[in-house]
Amino acid sequence: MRVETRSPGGFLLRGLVLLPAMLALWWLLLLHPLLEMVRVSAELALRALPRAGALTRITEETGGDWAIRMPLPSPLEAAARQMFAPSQTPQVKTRFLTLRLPRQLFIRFTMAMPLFWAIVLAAPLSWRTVRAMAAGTALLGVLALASSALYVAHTLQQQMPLVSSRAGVFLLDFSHYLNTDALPYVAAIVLALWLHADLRSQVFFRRPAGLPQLEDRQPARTQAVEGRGRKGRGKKRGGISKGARP
Amino acid sequence: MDRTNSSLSSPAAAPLRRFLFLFLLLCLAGFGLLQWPAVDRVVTQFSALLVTVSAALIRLFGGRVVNEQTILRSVANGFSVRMMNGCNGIHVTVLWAASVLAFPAPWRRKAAGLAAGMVVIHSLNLVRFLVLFYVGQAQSAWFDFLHVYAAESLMMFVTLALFWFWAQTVLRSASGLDAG
Repeated sequence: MRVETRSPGGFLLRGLVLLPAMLALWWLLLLHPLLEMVRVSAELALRALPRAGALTRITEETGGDWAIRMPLPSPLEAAARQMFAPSQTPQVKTRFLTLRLPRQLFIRFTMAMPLFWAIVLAAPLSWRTVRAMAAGTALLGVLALASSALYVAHTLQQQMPLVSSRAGVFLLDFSHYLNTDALPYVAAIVLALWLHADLRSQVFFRRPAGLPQLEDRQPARTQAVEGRGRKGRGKKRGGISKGARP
Repeated sequence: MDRTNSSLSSPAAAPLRRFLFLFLLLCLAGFGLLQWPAVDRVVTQFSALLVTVSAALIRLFGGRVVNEQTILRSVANGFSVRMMNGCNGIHVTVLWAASVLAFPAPWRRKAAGLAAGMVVIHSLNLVRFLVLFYVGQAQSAWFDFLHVYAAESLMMFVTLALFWFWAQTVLRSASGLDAG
């Protein structure tokens, strides 16, 4: 398996071309389908909640904001009754609530994708690129869903106390901060390094001096045997295997 | 770290696993520190300094702007921007510091890497801020896209390339280095 060797400079130059291209692709073509996928997945997840029924849904309003109609978590029932219908008798129950959330936030939760694609495509190209692209995109989709859930939980906490302990409130606030300000950017980089073995290898591992542009990542001992057995290819492979350590 | 056996689960990748663990821990610590009011005050002062430098640069080239704390305003059309935590490069600095400190390298190299990286990151961020200030005046429709998505992604990408460059410099200079 041949893997292209890239320098940080080449990576940067390719990225400077690929990043605007990926951002344009995401913004102009893929954003709407991605948001639809997040919306439908979130709706299905909400319907799996206890007491959720056909009335549980997420709709996009005319202004683009999302209206999330969901079952009220049990611990919040009393607070909701107090807030919305203090004069009514206890028999009146509030079972559902509707949250209206800005679309921009959900866009933000998918913005790691173009950065991830640009990193992976600017990295050494091999068959692993395709696998890393597919796995990373799927994981970022799941992350977008989890981020949306965390955002909804934080919004609920702002309206009525979902968590009452100080530690719990701090954790929720801190998670919200990471979720909106750090995760969209960090996730792309961490996932790219985690999923793309060749990129990881070239960033973190010593590059032998005088390494040719194309490199074989087979163990050195196997290459040496092949090098002796095959004329023509032996010289090139032997040179490469010198750099790699068993 | 040797480049063979780079699979995350292999025994040879122990330094890499240690790096990832330390990186995430330091990120959490760094972002946690930013939530502390005393640190937040220092960061706000830093943002005000960046706005002052930006205003001075604009004036140097004949532009007319007014700066007040973290706000930069154009005299010509009244357009103003406020530099906040996401815009002052402090998040990228936290990530840079976490990655350099987590990497197995001599402390002298780490200190040099931290300083050089911060100079590059904040120089780039200053350019970003100035570009956004002018884009906001000329094409306000593009401002949000460039500000929230494009510029931030670009900063992250450049930081990754910078880290790659620094890590290779460290590995090349310290032959046989396997752990920090």
